[in-house]
Amino acid sequence: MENQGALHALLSLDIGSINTRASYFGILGGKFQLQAAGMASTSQGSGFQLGSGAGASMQDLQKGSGVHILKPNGELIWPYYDTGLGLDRIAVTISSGPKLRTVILGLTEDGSLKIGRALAESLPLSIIGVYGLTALLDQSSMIDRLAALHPEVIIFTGGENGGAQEPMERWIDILKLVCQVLPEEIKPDILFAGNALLESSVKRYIEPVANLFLVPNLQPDREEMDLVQAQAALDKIIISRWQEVIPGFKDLISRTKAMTGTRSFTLGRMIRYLSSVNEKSMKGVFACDLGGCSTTAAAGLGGKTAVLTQSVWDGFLSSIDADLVNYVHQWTAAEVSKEDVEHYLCNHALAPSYAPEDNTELAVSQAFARYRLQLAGRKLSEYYPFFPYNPDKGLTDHFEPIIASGEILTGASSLGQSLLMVLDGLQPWGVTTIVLDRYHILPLLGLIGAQEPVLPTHVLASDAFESLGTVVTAVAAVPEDTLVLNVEVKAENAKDYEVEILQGTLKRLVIPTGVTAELTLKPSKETDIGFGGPGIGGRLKVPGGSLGVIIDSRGRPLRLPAVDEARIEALKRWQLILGG
Amino acid sequence: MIVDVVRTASFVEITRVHKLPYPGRVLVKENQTLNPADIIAEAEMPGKVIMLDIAKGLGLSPEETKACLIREVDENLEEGDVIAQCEKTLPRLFRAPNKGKIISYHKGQMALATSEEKVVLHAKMIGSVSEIIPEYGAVISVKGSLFQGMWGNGRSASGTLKTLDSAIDAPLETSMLEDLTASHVLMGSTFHDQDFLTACQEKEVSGLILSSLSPDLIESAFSVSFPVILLHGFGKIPYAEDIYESLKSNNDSIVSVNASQRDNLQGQCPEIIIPKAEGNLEKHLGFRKKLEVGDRVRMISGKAIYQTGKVVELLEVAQVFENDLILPAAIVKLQSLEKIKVPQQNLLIIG
Repeated sequence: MENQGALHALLSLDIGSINTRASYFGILGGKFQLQAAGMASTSQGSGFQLGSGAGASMQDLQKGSGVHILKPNGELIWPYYDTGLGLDRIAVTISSGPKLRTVILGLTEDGSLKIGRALAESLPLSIIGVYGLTALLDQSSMIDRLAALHPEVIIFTGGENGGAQEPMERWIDILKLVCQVLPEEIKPDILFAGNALLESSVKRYIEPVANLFLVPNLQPDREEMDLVQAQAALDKIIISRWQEVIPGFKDLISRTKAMTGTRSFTLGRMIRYLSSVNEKSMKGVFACDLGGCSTTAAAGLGGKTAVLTQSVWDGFLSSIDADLVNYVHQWTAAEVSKEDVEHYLCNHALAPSYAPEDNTELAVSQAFARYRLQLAGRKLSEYYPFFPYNPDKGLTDHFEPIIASGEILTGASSLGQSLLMVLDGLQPWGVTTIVLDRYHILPLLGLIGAQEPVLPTHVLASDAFESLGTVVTAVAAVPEDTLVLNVEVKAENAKDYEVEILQGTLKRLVIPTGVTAELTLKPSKETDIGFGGPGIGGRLKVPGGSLGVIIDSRGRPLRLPAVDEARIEALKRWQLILGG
Repeated sequence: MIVDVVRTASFVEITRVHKLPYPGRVLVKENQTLNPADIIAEAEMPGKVIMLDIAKGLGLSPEETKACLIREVDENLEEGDVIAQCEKTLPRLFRAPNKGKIISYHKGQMALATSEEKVVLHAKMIGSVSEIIPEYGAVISVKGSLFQGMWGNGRSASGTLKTLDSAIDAPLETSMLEDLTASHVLMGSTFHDQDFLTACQEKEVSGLILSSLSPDLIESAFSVSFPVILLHGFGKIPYAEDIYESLKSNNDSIVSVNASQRDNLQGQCPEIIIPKAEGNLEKHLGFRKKLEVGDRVRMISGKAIYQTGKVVELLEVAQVFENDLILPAAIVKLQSLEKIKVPQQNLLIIG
């Protein structure tokens, strides 16, 4: 299938560990729009071919949508016909493959090794070893150790461009020997992203013994950090290796000549684009996908991008984190013991596709979603200083919009529950908008945009993304029930009104979708609403959303009542305010 | 919808593929009978690399050293073999400090692998070799009962199944271990403290089959040398009665326990195999399967949690559950003949 020529219709597939989603983008009114979507189980595992789940998701997409992309025998209609049948491009994002066993070699813990970790954790890679300068003291045992680990990928980084070369040369000697020792079948792919002066040596000694990828230094100088090209190279390595281990994946993408990328890499690309659009407003963009088996988060601000993907269940049972259990218990809006929470999570780890069937299970699941969000925020801020998240404070810089996806968020019982999970997990400051990526297409737009830049632009402006509402956070160090903010609301075709916001409350102002409202925000002198400091207010034009405007004056960090009964009552009350 | 298969079958043909990650030697023959601890194949890799500074040893520059080498890369050396020789006024020799294989030489430095690291592949089950995969491993087959579980501690062994004398949901006690021997694979509901596990270790039991376990004891379960398998999961989950009765009816039979972690991609899951000569052969289901009407299933949520039943209908339209979630649903007929609505993704196919 050749994918040259004008684009009329594009099918995208997002292959997750549990579900495969198909989305069809066609032209309506001269613009690309998401016209149909479908979903089916991912057909991955012994005895399965990935294509059958993809086929089932396409069948689901066709059902009742008026879109026809499959022949009666299940084959794709290709190319696109003027009658509206078929399609002429396919794009595939995937996150379902096994994480590649990865070793990081570098110099210092706070320098190259930390950046190597940030790089590895931005993609579906599993770090099995990290070695710096001290490991070079015993070259022989280092060779044995590396060979015994059987890494699939080695990230080799360190040294500023033009900096000292000696330790890095010793790593080259070790790497060369390791690659000589390892049998062909288990040789790792080597990514060199270090001191540019060493490129020729690396090429000379490593290329003959391993598959080598040379990319620019991750940290060319002390102030700079650039992971993009290394991420692109690793993305290629992952896709290439997954084609060998996931039955049917190679066939699926080669027969359709599909654009392909990992979900985390393509999400990072989309966030980079969105933050560049946002650059003038000095605001960042944040996206988080709570998938069945992994959490993927990306943030962009002022030309910088951060990406993170974390496995939810790998290693979960080997060391159960007491803090996790405490956190989830605290945020569960139901009467459960810590023991119940622990049992629930451990059994969920054994069956990741599990869906909560009653209210208690749903409450635990949603508390766990909050934990996953705060964990992603914490980890991102650890690697990327421009992302100012602190669990004891919240997300203190302006990130707007916050785009959320993942079944637990998009499939929640109510939109209020979705919004509250995001709000409680991330605790944003100032003003932001929470958007739901119901069809899980944001990473796909990042992938498609590289070849078809018009499509994402059109789709982003369409209603494929659901704005849940605008959140205004009012933060003040004052006692509960103290007046912290006065809001005057002027909405089209409605009577003006005024609302007083008290400390410790959550308030919803209904502004329907399609209506724009003007808010005049008058904070008390202690209250910070993100307009430049305490006491500073102003006017804000807000578009309506499914939930309108939410004023959050519950405090940062959010503190839950210590007594169980009061805690559960507060959690339920907040949920009720946002529609139950 | 595709869901996991966690099989409970009284007579089925079980076939498992065992392969090395890279080529080696296959040590078994077709039709050979195997036990879990038997080695199917092994592969070697040069290991314990030592660096020899030949240039320094001979007192020469790296450039001068190359001409003095009398052994080459890939050659095997015995301890004391001369590697390099310098014929000057005072002749000097450089000898191999250990037996080994030269794996590289660069700038006066030689890397010598002084041992072979072995990777071995165990059978992890009772069975016989039905096919040899040259250089990589073998396919092992056996007919018998199969009980798959939810979690395992990564070990495997075989022994005689011994149902410990306790109620279906009563915890196991150390006092129950008195008459046991090392060859026993014990079956019981659960245990509450580490002392029981320590006592099992002291008695050198061959394995432990439980319905469930407290997550607090996971670490201890990982630390023992025998397999521990959980058929249902974590917490206080009593056996599904049919599974309990079925396992109990095999008391004193030889069983093999492979307490591996579940890996759908690799096609492995924690399982108990009880070899049998005959029975009504049930069909093979794989590790995951598309849910269909007629499938025997176990519920992992709702009011009939851990009970078994039969799928009688897959509802076309997603259903609203108690918590307002809208999910694809199935109607399952329980053994009590009651019909219940369950989210499809919360079903495990057992047969």
